[in-house]
Amino acid sequence: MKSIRNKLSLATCSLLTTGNASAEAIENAWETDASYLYYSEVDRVTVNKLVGAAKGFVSARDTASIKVVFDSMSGATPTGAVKSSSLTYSGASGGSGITPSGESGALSDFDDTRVGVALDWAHEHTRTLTVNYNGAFSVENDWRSFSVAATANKENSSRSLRWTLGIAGTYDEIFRVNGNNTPEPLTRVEDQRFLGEGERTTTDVIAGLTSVINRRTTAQLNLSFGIANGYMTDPYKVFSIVDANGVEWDQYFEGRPDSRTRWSITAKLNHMTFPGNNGIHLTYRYYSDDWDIKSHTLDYAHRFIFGNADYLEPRIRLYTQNKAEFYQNAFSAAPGSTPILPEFLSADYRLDDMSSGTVGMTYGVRFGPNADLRTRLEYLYQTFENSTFDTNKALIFNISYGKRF
Amino acid sequence: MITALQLAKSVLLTNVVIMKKLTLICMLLMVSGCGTLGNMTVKEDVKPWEKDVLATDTMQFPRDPMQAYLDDHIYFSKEASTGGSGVGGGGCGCN
Repeated sequence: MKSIRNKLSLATCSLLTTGNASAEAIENAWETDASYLYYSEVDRVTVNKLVGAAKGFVSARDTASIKVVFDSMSGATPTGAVKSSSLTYSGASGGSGITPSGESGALSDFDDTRVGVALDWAHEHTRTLTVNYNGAFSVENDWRSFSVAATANKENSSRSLRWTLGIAGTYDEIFRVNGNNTPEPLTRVEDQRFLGEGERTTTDVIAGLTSVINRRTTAQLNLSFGIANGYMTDPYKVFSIVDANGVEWDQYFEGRPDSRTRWSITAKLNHMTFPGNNGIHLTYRYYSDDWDIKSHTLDYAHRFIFGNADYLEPRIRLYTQNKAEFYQNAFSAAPGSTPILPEFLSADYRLDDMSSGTVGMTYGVRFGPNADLRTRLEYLYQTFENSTFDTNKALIFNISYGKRF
Repeated sequence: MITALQLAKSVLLTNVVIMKKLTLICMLLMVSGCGTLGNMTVKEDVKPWEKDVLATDTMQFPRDPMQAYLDDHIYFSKEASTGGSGVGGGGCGCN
């Protein structure tokens, strides 16, 4: 009986399914997914993340879902100061947040926890129009974030094309732990001049087209645009003032522009080979923003699907970006002088010229038609052109269990 | 006992055989690649009863929403670029 219902579901569902129209989803009223992520950098940050998600069909036209996230983060993170730094007050804020690592001012120990909740409601207004409404919040020791979003998906009558239009608004509050403040940008760390909490508003828009190319191929093209205004600086990051030999003699808090405009174009392709039924998954993204950062991302995964629906999926992701126009690893000035600083300056390694590669594998096991287990192991390697720390290596382990009721 | 000339001849012949095999493998790979590329780009109408492959998880965007969500968080924290797959969900002050 179940198999007949599955076949009927398959025969009636949309060509461009978004997950909730798959045969299993139609048959089952609830879907749950639980995941654990272990992310560990060599001598740096370690993150343990737990995620629980549940989605239910509350009516013939409505789907509700909830996602709860808990993060625990600890370890050492680059402050922005050069390695020769002996000024260990960088990033010090007391409490359980970032504190000097002691050995060098170039790294600071920190620990933080994060709790996030996202609610999603999808309503099928007509046979070919569905709108997803989303609300989310996230709270950390030094960050609060609230967002709302709406995404409309409109299919053509034959359901071979789907247009997507989404808009989201995000409000963030940023501050240092305990102090509930932010340092005055581009001031001496020693002076300890602080302002109130930082606030930021962000509007993101996405327009996309998803198309069925043929029975075994689908493609997607997304255009994204985002504009953020407000506090964009990292309240913990500093940069070194160095002499002609590169030796640090002072430290300043970093300062970034108070707005950022981003856009990107992303192309995705899914193809199921014949014969063999293996999945080919290709993604390319070009990104640009008015901080003069441009990046290319290429992601390729090949899913080898076995007869029992288990799969092995090797993956490679390559990424490259050029540095932000205001990025400098350090600022040179004669010792004892008052540096004439540019309007904006940051030594955050994530804004540097960067190349990054991820390789790894996912193994998926199905337990009958309504449960599956996915295990992933990946290795991330990043290189930086100018930063004090010229590499970052991380191990990514992830295990997820999905169950449909 | 073989002479230097015989040795050179033998190496050359072996290399020629290896080269031929490699050329054959490359040609097969190219034909296979072209075939796959052709399968990807040929546009055709899909009838309702031909949706079995398209309805599988493997063919969705994203094929694993949980993994995509986790990846977004990792790379949002470690790179200057973000976006391209959706909107909403909120931010974080990740180090």
